[in-house]
Amino acid sequence: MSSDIRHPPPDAPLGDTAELEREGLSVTPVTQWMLFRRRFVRHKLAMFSLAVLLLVVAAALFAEQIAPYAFDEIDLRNRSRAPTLDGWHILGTDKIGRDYFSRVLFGARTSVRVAFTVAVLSTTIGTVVGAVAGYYRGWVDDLLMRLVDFILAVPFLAVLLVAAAYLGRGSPMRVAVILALLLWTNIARVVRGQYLSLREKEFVEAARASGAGDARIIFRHMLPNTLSPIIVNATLVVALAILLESTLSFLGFGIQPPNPALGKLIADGQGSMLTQWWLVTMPGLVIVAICLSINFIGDGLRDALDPTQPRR
Amino acid sequence: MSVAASGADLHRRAAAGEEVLRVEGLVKHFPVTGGLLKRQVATVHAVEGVDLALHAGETLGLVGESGCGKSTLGRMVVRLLEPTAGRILFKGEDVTNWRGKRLRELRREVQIVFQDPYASLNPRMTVRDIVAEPLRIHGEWTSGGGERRVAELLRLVGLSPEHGNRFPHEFSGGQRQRIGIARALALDPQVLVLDEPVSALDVSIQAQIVNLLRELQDELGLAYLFIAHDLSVVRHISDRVAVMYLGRIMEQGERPQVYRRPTHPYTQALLSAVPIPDPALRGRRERIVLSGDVPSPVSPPSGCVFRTRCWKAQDRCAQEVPELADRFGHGHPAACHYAETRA
Amino acid sequence: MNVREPVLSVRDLVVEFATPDGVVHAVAGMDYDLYPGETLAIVGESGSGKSVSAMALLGLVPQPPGRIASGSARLRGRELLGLRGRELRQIRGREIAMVFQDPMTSLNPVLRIGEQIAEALAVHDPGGSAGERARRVVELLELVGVPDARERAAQYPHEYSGGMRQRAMIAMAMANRPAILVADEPTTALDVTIQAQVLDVLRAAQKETEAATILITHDLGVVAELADRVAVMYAGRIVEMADAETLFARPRHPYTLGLLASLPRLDRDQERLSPIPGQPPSLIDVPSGCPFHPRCRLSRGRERCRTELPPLYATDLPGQQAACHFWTEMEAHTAAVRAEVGAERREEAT
Repeated sequence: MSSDIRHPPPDAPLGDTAELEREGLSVTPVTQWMLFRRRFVRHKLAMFSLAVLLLVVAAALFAEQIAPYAFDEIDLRNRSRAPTLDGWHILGTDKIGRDYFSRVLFGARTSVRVAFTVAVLSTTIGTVVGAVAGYYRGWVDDLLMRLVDFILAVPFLAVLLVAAAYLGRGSPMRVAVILALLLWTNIARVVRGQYLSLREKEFVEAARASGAGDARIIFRHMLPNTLSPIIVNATLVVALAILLESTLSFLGFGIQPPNPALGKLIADGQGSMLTQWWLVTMPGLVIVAICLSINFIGDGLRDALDPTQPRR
Repeated sequence: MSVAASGADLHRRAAAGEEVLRVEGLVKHFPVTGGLLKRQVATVHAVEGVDLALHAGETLGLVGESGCGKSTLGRMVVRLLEPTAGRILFKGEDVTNWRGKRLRELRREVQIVFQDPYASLNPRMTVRDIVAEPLRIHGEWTSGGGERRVAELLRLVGLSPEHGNRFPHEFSGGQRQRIGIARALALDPQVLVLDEPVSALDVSIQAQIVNLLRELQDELGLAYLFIAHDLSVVRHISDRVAVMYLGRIMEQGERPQVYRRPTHPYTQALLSAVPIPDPALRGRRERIVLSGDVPSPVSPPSGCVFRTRCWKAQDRCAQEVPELADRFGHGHPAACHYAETRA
Repeated sequence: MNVREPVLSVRDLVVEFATPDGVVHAVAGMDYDLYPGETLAIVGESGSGKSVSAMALLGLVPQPPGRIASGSARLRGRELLGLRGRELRQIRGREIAMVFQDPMTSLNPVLRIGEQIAEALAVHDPGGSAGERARRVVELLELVGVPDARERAAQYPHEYSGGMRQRAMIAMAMANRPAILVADEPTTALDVTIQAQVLDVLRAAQKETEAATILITHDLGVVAELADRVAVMYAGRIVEMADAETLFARPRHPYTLGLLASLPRLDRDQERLSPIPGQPPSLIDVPSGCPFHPRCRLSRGRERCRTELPPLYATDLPGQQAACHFWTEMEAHTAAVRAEVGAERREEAT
């Protein structure tokens, strides 16, 4: 008896979703984004930190609307009061009666603005430098990496203080630019490493074989494959920038009054730390909250973007 | 010939049997750098003077073991690597030094399918984007026409247009290879270089892809440069065959000639070494086991490069490079002073 | 006819892996016996479970995420699964030795070859002298055909070529005269001419030590060269078992036939290849009934294939088993498929 083969020929195109199901492919595409989201959500700590961070950032950015008082509104009758619900001084007042909640809020706003500006700027600079160095190699790479080495060799804190004092002139945005120009090196190295390995991949060769130019290959084909380390690094830069900005203002450099800055608030409250504890603790808590939550989010991001890495 | 005139000629589809691609004396040397100052200390002779010709509608199989230079040759044909010396001719025109815009035009006609279905597709692009990319690069993507073309290409390789929304990691090896083929066909090329296109696939899937490639060749009139180390697959798909060793062609000719009446000792050894899936033949085939290992391409032997492992080697082999020619009237050229069929 | 005792008996072996996407059923119930001095080839494509089944014998399955869910593997009566620590180390290298696919990663790059082989000897025979061991190392390297064995023993792995490294691996495996040699894709990463050399070495080493060999491979050509008996695996199960000649000439499972029909031949011209349609199955979501049924041309959608998992039936030929409800139809089916392929008469052997 001859084999009555009614099975469709092996290379028959598949036309409908039933066929797709049989192939084992789900009907709705599973995007990288959905996989990432699923993995990130599993991190309870990262999710909680995300909530905290969003809360703090939102509060900081809407300081104008939320603050019950102006940050420089003096009220000598209510000097040095501990946190109380009376008059909505929920974080107390300082030595000349300014509402501390408002001051902390505006201080946080400055910090957040500076930190995010630094993150965006340094990430952009670092990514472009790293991509060009890694892609072209040769003398371009040598030159750019010597630049990186130079910046890293520079005594960081000293340069930062001097630059902030002379060029910063108290403007938060200038301080942000200075910080960005010093902090892009790490991401540049990371991106360069990624590009060095990616340029050998066959899909890059395929793009070249199709006629793509260098710029298209660098940005359209390779960059989406380096997003994970870039994002993780960017979040860490935010945390670092907040700390550095606070340090600067604590030391009296960087942002000048009347703009409130978290570091300056801590510096001013140092002397009466034991009696008026809220002067140091409140701004300190905000800094800690932001940095810790960013670090936990960074952990969660790292894991969600690259599930092959071991969980610490 | 002006660019305009050659432009029209470039994209005209070659008639069956017309020569579409020729390489003459193609050479590729890679420098080896060493030491603190990164000076060149040695040279890898990857490809050392290769002549080949390819005609529309035919498959030229290029076989050899690892390190013979076949992949390097394939990449030179699609200009992913620049030749150190030699010429590449497309439909009779010397395109070796074409750059920029002219090179981009040429790329529409000569495309490549890679070996590794897992690395040759960008994991962050959808299948649609991957297949559409050549169209976008050459300014042929329109919202209506482009979509239709992508759907047509996917169907052509046995996939469904619905697959376009997905990412490569959702597909199996064989399906990814099909996507790679669809991408290579996007601009309707005349020549396809296939670099080990089925080596990384399971046996049952290999056969699917091989059948697909043959169908596509018949339907679209493509010329294939089929690079592989698997002699059985090459036998099945090729019209003509060239055997490479250490950057040189040892023997070439019509497929039946090379497989049934090989005259070069290396070809003979190669054919005898391939295990055949038939236990009844065990112990009944003639076995030529070569001694030693493949010499390094950094310091290839003088004269005939195969002499260090050849049982026929004489003094002449060390002194005189054998020309790739049919000296004894066998019907196809071999690069050996003592080429002969085995009884 | 004398009844030989198997040197290895595997029964109901089940190995699973826990992954975020679900449980992977890598091996879903395997039974086989291995007799002294014979070569049993375990053939399958990627995802068939062949490598995992061998790793389970040597305690190489990482647990977690792997898990030997059930089954037994008895080496001369002694249970292998679940051995740990000292007992496991006694078995490895002494009773069972393994040769892997990639010699570069299984050889220690910072130790000389001779040292590594000597260590394999020392672990199982601490009493012997260093001089004796050195002698044996050279003897082994000569056995596997490494030229200038005495000098070569002092070299490092990177000074050896791929083929020679594989020979060194075989020498190390043979050092303690194991009862069983497991070779996992031993020649897959090698060039054809080197592969031929290494296969010869394997054959010689086997003859010398009289070890039983489990040869794991996807290459049916290699199977035809070396194997006495063959077990074909699909989706974690053995679907056909027979001696080599019978399997190639008269397969009784459609998957085996599918594999054979999809092979391009070196020694003949074929019209077209007859591939197996579809894709290999997901090991998380294995098809119901017979796992091969979605791709099976013999099944033709028959209900029994979808609902009932076929056991290994004994067939009409001695020593052969096939896990197919309709194995009786295979003779005719084989002829039809081969006609499709349009194989010409085999040419005179060259």
